[in-house]
Order: sequence, then structure tokens, then C-alpha cells
Amino acid sequence: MHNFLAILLTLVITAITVGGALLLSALIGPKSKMTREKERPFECGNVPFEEPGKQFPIHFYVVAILFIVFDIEVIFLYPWISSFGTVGRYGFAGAMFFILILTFGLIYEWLRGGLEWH
Amino acid sequence: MAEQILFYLFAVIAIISALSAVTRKNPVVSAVWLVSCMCSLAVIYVLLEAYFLAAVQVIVYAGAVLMLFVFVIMLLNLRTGIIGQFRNLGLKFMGLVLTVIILRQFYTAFKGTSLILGNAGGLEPGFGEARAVGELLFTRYVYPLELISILLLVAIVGALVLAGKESS
Repeated sequence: MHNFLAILLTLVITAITVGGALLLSALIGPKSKMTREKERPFECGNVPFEEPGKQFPIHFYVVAILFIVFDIEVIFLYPWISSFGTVGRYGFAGAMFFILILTFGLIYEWLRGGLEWH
Repeated sequence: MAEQILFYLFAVIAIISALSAVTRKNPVVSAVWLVSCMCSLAVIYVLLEAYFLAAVQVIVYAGAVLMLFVFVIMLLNLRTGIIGQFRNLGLKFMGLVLTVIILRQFYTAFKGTSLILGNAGGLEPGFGEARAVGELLFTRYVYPLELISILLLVAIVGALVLAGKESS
């Protein structure tokens, strides 16, 4: 629990810094009116050529959902690595079977063209 | 004492974030409120000495799953205000009924248990860390673990089928 004191302290300092900066600039900063120029997204660079929130190609979603599946696989392997010495061969076999089943998923994904962009 | 203050602080943040997430008009803003809710829940997991779960909560939920939510919002082209069309009286009533049922379930589940904050007592050192989770997961609960791999396999197949990828 005490290891988390550093994280809590970081959180508190961040909140004070960000909140304080926002509060101070709102209190003592000069009030300025919104102009057309100020509402532009960038002060330098290209003007965006379309509205954000446009419909997305589904390819991105497939990549994202496949990423999450293998992300969760890695999350489950992390406790295995931490307890590698104590769970022994039984745990090793369990983890290998776990990986094997998901390797079938990877092969299926590959054969079905989930890794191709088009 | 400090634990209780932290618990109530982050419990309030979690509830406010959750309420904001369901009441915002812009779905992307809802997703950002959900990040705040998930992170507050991670703090509560830490207070319950479930350290591994707290880390997973931040990595998987606040990181990966929320990214997926934003993808879905963009995929379905949900614009600001479109959610409002689905907020009618009938759905609100249904939500109220479901909330009452869930609260009733919680009451039944927690009534008479010793789940009191700061009353962890008798936990061996290292409880809730990745090592302790692994020692249970890969010995006693290895069968549920394999079932999870099947579940993830179904998710892979489902994603590819839904995306309509032709088999080559």
C-alpha cells in the first residue's frame, strides 16, 4: 500500500499544478473575446479539410479488437511469469495450452486475411 | 483513517464520472468521463489490496477498452446529440427498474459479510500482487483460464466475421 504513496503524491501535485494554473489564469489573466481567428484549430500548419467524427473504415476496428484480444493474453501471462518458480510444470503446461489455443486464433486470423489491409 | 478518506474521495469521483458519462450529449466526452471512472475504480482496487487487478484495470479498461469504445463511436458515426434521440420515458423507466433490481442483488450479496473498509485483516504479505494471482491462476484455477482462452478465440472469430473479411 505504501508503494502507492508516490503515485498518490504525483496525482495530488498534478491536480494542484494544473488546477492552480487554470484557476490563476482565469482569475488574474486578461479577459479576451473569442474571435474567428482564435477558433481556428491550428495557429500554424494545415487547415483541416474535413469535419472530425467522420465515419471510419472498419479495418481500424478489426485491428483494434484483435489488439485487445492479444493484449488480454499478455495480461494473463504476466502473473505466470511472476510466479514461474512456484507453479512449476503444471503451470507451464497450463500456460502453454492457453497460448496454443490463442495461436489457433492467430492462424485463423492470418488465413482469413485479418492481417491484410485490403 | 487515510484509507477511508481516499476511498470516499475516489468513490465520489467514480460516481460523478459515471453519472457524467451517461448524461453527456457528445459520446466522445462520455468516453473520456468513463476513463476517469475506470481510474477511480483502480484506486479503490488498490485500497482493497488488489494491486494486480488495479494495474489491469488501468492497462486494459482505461487504455485498451476505452480506445475500442472511441473506435465504435467513430465507426457508427455517432454525432453530438444523436444519443438524445434514444432517451425517452419508457427507456428511463426500464433503467430505473433494472437499477432497483441490481441494488437488490448487491444488498443480498453483501448483507452480513465482513467486507468492511480497512478491515482486510489476516492477509498474508504479497496478497493481490501478480505473483500471488499467478500462483492461484496457474494451479487451482487453470481450467477457468483455459476457458478464457476459448472466449478470446471466439472474440477473434467474431471480430473477423463481423468485419466481413472474405476467406482467401
